[in-house]
Amino acid sequence: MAESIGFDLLCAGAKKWVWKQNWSELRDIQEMAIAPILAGNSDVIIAASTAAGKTEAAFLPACTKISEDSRSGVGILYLSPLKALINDQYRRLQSLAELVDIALTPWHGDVGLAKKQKLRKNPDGILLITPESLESLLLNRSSWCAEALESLGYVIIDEFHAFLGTERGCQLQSLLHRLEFLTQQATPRIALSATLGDMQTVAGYLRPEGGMPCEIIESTASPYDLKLQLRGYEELVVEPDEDEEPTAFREMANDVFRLLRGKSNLIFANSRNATERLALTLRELCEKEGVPNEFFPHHGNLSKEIREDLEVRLQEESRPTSAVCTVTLELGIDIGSVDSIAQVTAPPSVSSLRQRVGRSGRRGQPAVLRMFITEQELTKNSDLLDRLRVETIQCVAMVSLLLGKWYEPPPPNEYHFSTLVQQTLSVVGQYGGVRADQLWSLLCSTGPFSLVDSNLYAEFLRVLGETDLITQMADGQLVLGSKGERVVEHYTFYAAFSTPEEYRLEVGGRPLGSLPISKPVPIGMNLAFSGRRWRVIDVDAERKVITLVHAAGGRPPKFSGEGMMVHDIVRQEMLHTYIEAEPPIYLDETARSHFEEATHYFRELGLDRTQTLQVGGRVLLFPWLGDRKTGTIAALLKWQGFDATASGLAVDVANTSLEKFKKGIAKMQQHEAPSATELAEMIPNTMEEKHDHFLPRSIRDLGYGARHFDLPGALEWLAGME
Amino acid sequence: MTSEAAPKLRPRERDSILQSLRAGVTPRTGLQHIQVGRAREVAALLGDIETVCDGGASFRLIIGEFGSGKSFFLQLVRNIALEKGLVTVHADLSPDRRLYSTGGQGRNLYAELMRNLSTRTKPDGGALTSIVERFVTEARKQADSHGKNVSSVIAERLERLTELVDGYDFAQVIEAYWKGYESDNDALKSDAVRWLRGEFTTKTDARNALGVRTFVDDANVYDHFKLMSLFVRQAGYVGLFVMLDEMVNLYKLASQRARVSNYEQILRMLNDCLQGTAQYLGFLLCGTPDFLLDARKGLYSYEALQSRLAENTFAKAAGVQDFAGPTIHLANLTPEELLVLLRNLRRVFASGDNVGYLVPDAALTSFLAHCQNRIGDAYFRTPRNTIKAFVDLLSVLEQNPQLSWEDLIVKVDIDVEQNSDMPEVEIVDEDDGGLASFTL
Repeated sequence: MAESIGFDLLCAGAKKWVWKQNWSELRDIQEMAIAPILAGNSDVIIAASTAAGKTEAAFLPACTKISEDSRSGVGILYLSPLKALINDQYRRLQSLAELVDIALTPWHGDVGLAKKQKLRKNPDGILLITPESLESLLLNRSSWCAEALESLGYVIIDEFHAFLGTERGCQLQSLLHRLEFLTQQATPRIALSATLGDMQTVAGYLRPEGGMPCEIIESTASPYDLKLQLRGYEELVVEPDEDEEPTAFREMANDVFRLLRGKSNLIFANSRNATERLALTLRELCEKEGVPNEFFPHHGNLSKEIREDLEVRLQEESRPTSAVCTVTLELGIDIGSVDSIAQVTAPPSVSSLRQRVGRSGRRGQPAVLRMFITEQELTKNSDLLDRLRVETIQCVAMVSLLLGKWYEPPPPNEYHFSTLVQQTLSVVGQYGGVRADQLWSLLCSTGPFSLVDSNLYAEFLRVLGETDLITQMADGQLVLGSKGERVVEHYTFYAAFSTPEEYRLEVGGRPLGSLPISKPVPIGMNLAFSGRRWRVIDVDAERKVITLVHAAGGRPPKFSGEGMMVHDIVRQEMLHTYIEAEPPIYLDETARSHFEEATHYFRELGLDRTQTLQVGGRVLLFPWLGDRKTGTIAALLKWQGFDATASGLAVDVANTSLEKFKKGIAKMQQHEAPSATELAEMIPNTMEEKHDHFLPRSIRDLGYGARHFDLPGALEWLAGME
Repeated sequence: MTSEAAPKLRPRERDSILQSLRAGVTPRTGLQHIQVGRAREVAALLGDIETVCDGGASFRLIIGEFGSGKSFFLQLVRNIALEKGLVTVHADLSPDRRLYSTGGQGRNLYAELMRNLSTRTKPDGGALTSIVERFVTEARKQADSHGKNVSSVIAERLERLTELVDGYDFAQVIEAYWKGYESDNDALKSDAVRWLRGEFTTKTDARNALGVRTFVDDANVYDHFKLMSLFVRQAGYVGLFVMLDEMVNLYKLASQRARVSNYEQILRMLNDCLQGTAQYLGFLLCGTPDFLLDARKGLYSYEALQSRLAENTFAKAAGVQDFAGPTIHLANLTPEELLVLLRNLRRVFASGDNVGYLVPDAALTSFLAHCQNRIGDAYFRTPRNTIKAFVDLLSVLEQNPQLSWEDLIVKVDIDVEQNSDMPEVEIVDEDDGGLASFTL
């Protein structure tokens, strides 16, 4: 063990554990985290990539501290977004917990009763739990929580970046706040996160109520070596065979097969449908070549068993294995590291790309990233945006941002009305009878729903009253209404996000996965799933089970949409890339020609000089801003009466001329701009989140407007337009 | 109720009464010194106590607003019941204490009741062991005088219990206590008492310690009330009175299923009392109007209870109460009664002495007038705050004789009762925009 100040501060058990790992030294984040965590008077954010030793960085000092605390009760509350990650950490932390001599309990929906009973009787040590299970404990066993968590030393939140800006993230903030209110003490929060831009904002997200400083620990380890390639493919406008997969797709799959087979890889295909499609093609290539299959899909709709089998196979490293996956394998499930990463289509964000690349790079080998990007074949009828080769340029821009260590900052604060419904009901259910002013003080004034002022909350509560979610006693106390009771009692209540009703897919009685009920499949239909082809032989609507048998044909099913917002800086970098017109060395021949076509056309259009173009009967705007601002510009134009749609990097205004358009803008600037809520009123359906259906249009629109529109940003661009 | 010629108070009694009142809780002793009005209600409960003493069963629901004096009334009845030789158990319901549950809350309530088990000589609870002792002593005496062995006397005396649910095990536990007594086995004795207190939580523990297969759990609380009522008879007491306060906690349960299963237990009590299947057993349950009347969550939401508890429509039409029905609505105190109440408080302050009052009669009327101006009619319904403010006022005057009551009364601030099960949230200087008086 090399000289280390931090190491000496650890307890004997923790030291012993480090020795047993045969580590020659602590990683930089581990070294840096020990002192501030032991001090226990500040929150700590540990930002590093997957497999950089964040878990140990948090647990070594935290376990040291609580092992010195003679009080009984849970000492460390570990929160994780995934059950699988809890199972994983339970396995990994066992030896440390044993050496430090503290109890370790996993707690989520699939954990057996015996473990839970034991903790209930004798709360102690480390509790690994999901936000949903914590919600249930606070609601149903509030007084147990108050006692069991009385001497809580730390809250550790894993994969903190996955919570940012989501309903679950807001629920998590509220739960932690309610927990501190229940135990009447501030407990240091330790967030383990991917590296994000603007870590100060992340700190604000970790404790929106304030009241404790936050120490930010970022890995300063020397930059990793990265081997990089961007491969281009061209999709034909007229395909030779309609029934087959498109030529470009087959070429791409052949390359993936050729380049990746025989090693371990993660192939990110961004959507569940694309994941299935690619996994199936790769499996069939293996079969055709007469080699054992080593390509398997991994996504949220596959059964737990299938996913775990694949995770174990990756971990064992005994056979070459490639997972064709969605973001499910971006999170820190322990699968060891792989030889290379393949990115089919552009990554959703720079920080996500960083996470993915962090999975690669085995035993000191450089990380390998291959991007497979398909663009349309160009003809004289090709659309202007196709000609600009947007996806290729976006990848190039994202890579240079990645190399420059820029990452997306967390999204801005929102109203989160749907989650406020859940939290309001949960607090009422937890205590029995509470007053309106207390609810507001806890959840809004001192809690995470800080955008909701008392008048708005009063209006909100009245809505809950009208729908019988809550009701009022003679002395003014609010209690759950009969509708509210049914909502709270239902097993789906603990999740802040909506869980779509699903059919279970079964083969010979064994679960294969699930399909959203909104995408029904009839008996006899062929279907590709889990990388294989099946025929539906039975649909049991009562039990919600679809039975499958092997078949020869079938396509992957459609799942509901996924997507991520492109950030302002990414678009700015794209503009820069177009202007510089310097093809990076990591492009293959096709990609290079796409790049050159793009920059050539960009200049030809004069986009380096102007941001507005008239193309036939339409006007195209290029604000070079992120999706949120671009969408807001389109919405503002619509409000003004233009037929405008945002399509990625441009706003397309149909049936107008540049002259008419500019007149319209001038007129618009004479009047007061609409509010974000007014813009939301134009949206046909503003129901997005789980409990939105309880809320009236007015409140929903307020939330929708704040979430989707950036008015100052859009107005600034429109004002600056020549 | 109290004449001005009542006896003097002992200083300790005086201080404990005043301390309780200032904290807004019911004093344990000396209630007779302050009690006013409610003569008919008390008479009705006296009747209930008589019924229980005569081998019957009674069930009463006391309904009143927060702070209207339900707990005071309950305490008053408890003192009377103890005087009459009954054993009482009392407890507040809470989210963690219910009549029936699956997560330990039922057993919690039972354990709390047993902790508070009181007799005339032990009015402050903790009397369970002495009752068991008394039973065993009686059994020994009987055995000695009839030349029998003690175990068979115990078996004989508890034979009636064995016909009831869990009764056989109850008898076994008492027998185990005797064995521990006989063989100087304190561990066995204490296990038996722990079982009776509802402190066992698993079958295995109960079997290992006492050789019985059952224990007081979440589902059989009511059955154990019945067993206990028969047992205290055999120990030489008149009967058992069960007093449950803060019943509104059942109304507030977040789960309808949980609530209904608790209401079922109330129905069992009511049925057993009305049909005469329970003996030497009385129930007194206190709750707010919401708890009874709310058609969706209150007792009235449960059809069988509503029909049994519904007010006598003739009495209602005539504007009177039917004290023969199971439900008593605590009437508001009249202004005259409130005046008597203040007079009583003034006398308690003076240690029962008719001379040396801190304020003259004029101060009492002026205090009442001030209160009425401040919070209106509500204070007739909820005397708790009025009492607290008045006791505070007298206390200030006692310590600062130089102050004049006229100046102080106008400064008296009485808050409207703010009830909640949630602790208050500390917020720094922020306006809640009138949410404190929020109505749906």
